[in-house]
Amino acid sequence: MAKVKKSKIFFKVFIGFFTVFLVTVVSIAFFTQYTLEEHLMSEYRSKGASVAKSISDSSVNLVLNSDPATIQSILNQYLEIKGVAYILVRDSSLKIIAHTFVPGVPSELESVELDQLQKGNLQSGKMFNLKLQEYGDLIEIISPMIIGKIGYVHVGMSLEPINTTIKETILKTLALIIGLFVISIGLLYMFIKQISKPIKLLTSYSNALSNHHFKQPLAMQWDIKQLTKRSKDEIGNLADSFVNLEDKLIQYIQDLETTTVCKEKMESDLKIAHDIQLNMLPNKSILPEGLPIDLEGTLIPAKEVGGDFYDFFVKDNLLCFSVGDVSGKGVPAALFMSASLTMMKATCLHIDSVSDVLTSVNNLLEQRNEHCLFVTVLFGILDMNSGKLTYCNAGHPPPLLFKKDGSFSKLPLTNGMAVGIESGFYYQSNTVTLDQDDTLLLFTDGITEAENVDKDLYGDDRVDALFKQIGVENDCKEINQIVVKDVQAFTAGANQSDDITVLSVRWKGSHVSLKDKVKVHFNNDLQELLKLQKVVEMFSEENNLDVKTTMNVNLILEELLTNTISYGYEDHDHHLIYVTFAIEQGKLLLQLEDDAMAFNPLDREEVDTERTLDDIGIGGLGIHFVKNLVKDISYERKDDKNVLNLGLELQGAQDEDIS
Amino acid sequence: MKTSVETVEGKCLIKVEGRLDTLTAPELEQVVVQVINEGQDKIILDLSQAEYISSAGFRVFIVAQKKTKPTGGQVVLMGVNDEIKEIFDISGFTRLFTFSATLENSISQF
Repeated sequence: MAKVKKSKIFFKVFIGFFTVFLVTVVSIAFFTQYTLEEHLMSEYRSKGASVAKSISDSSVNLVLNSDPATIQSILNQYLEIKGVAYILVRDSSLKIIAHTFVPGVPSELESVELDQLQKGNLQSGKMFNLKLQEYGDLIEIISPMIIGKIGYVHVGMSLEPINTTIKETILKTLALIIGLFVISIGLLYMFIKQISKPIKLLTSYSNALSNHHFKQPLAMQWDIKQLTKRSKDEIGNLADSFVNLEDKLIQYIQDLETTTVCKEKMESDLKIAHDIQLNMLPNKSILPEGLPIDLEGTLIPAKEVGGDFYDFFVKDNLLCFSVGDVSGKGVPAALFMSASLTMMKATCLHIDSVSDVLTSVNNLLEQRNEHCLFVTVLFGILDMNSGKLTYCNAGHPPPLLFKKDGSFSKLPLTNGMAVGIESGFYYQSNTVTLDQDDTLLLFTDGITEAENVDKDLYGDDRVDALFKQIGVENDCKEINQIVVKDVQAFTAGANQSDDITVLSVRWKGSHVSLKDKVKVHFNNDLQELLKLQKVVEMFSEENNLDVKTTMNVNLILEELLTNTISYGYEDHDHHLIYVTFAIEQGKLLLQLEDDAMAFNPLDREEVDTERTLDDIGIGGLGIHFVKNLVKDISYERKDDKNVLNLGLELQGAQDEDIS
Repeated sequence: MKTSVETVEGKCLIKVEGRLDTLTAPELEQVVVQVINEGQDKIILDLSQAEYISSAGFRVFIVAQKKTKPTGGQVVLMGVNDEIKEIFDISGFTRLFTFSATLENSISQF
């Protein structure tokens, strides 16, 4: 109730209603009073007139006969008629001959009558209003007897009954109207309550909606639904819209939650995929300690997952490394990337030739590649003992080779196409020999094709300018930071358009510990004699061997390797020859191990230097040298391999060292 | 390895610098054979700047010696350092060649 009273609607309607009521009451009151008064007055006047007329008629004779007592008694009779206040009779000289006043005619009446007399009203028998202290409001009606020739009858009619009647009537009417008003207010209240109750309900419903979680319908919805059934009016329609709104919001929230959950799941999966992918990339810490290598790989994916990769691992004295970029982006590229990376590493474990690895991986990838993805790869194998780098470039931006003096050049292309496109393609390789502190910088087109906000590409000019900043004083980590920082400064504010990958590799020369024992492999290629020379020099330096021993060791190994490489293999395949250098108890031990045809150099016929020049064959000289330069020599054929063990006495520097 | 050829008092002086091994010996052989084919049979090989000689180098010396012998010529090995000389000694080839320390001495060998 209190709430309804406070309801503004109720208040407004009440004010309106009350105003209408007030106007009505006042109008009715005035109208009633006016009408009633008019009506009663006319009745009164005619009543008064007839009384006066009747008296005057019956009094004519009496006045003529001058019988005031009879006139008095007649007057007294008439006085009993309701409304008659007084009667007085005047003779033609206006002298009062009879009246009903007790004890006498009030003086105020006399003065009034004199006043009227002067106006001539008395003579003409008109009526007029007057007020007497004792009788209140009066109306006096004058009836002349025989045109005033005999006298005048004055009848004073009291207005009090009229006023009382009017008052009563107005009061009764007012009472009725007030009663009706109260009933109306009651009905109005009921009506407003009827209207405001659903509105109130809807208001609290909408308030509840604003704080609702929309997981299930509000308990109130049932009430609102009842409302829509009950009221088939605007309120009902409004309630219906509210219910629809809630239902739709619940549906929407449910859809949103489902979508959000799906999206979260996908994002979480992508996050895991991102981690897995980054974990596929090697960490520098996996490399054994003491390698003559500084390297650093950096990969900044443009999305959660991407198609770039880099890899490096060590196999014997070889550092295998690669940088690749799969066509496309996102999950497809990432899947292809992981296949490529895994395949390359697995293949590399049992094949040493970069050409064969890429050729094989290309065939494998092409076989199951309906979506025609491909990967550009720069794959290299660096002999950490000699600095010899063999690499294949399969459609990849050429890596840069930084020399110690700050100059840099691109590694020549090897005419390889991207991997995964055409099976059967043979990937040619190229070989360069690095000098100490040479640095290789491998990268993907995420650098050269990085876009800034204006869609300009980073471009070759910037790349050149960037590379001029890089020197031997920067370690590989710094080099990567310089590159990435510069590219990111260029693309600041723009979305990263592609993965950014940088792999720097610096060969620190043969600081490998060649002390006491080292195992080195050589390919079946006479050019490997250059590597031999370097290895022997390094080993000698590390172990303080004298010039003569150094030369002899070089000579011995050159002769043996030349023999094996030139005559040991019937095929043209790639083979490895392993040479172990060891210093034990003042002796230098050399072991050669190869998978060439069985050949025991000890079986060779001695070169007889006692013969004349003409008789000396020019074959077999090398073996002759070897036999003469070593102290011990032994041969065995083991597991289809030739194993030759040689021993040299050490003097000179070794002895000095010991002393 | 670097080689240079000049004629000194009617003798052919071939200077050898650097390493004379399996990889470089064919180069020297080509030079020597060409000189001989041009009719020169008095050859002085200046080995004072040679750092290293393997059997492939020896083979070139032997070939040269064999080719010049029939016409009464010979090969003189000049300025061979101790380490390389020792290889000649150990391998027993010393007696096949004439060694000399200086150019004058070499020229006087013919």
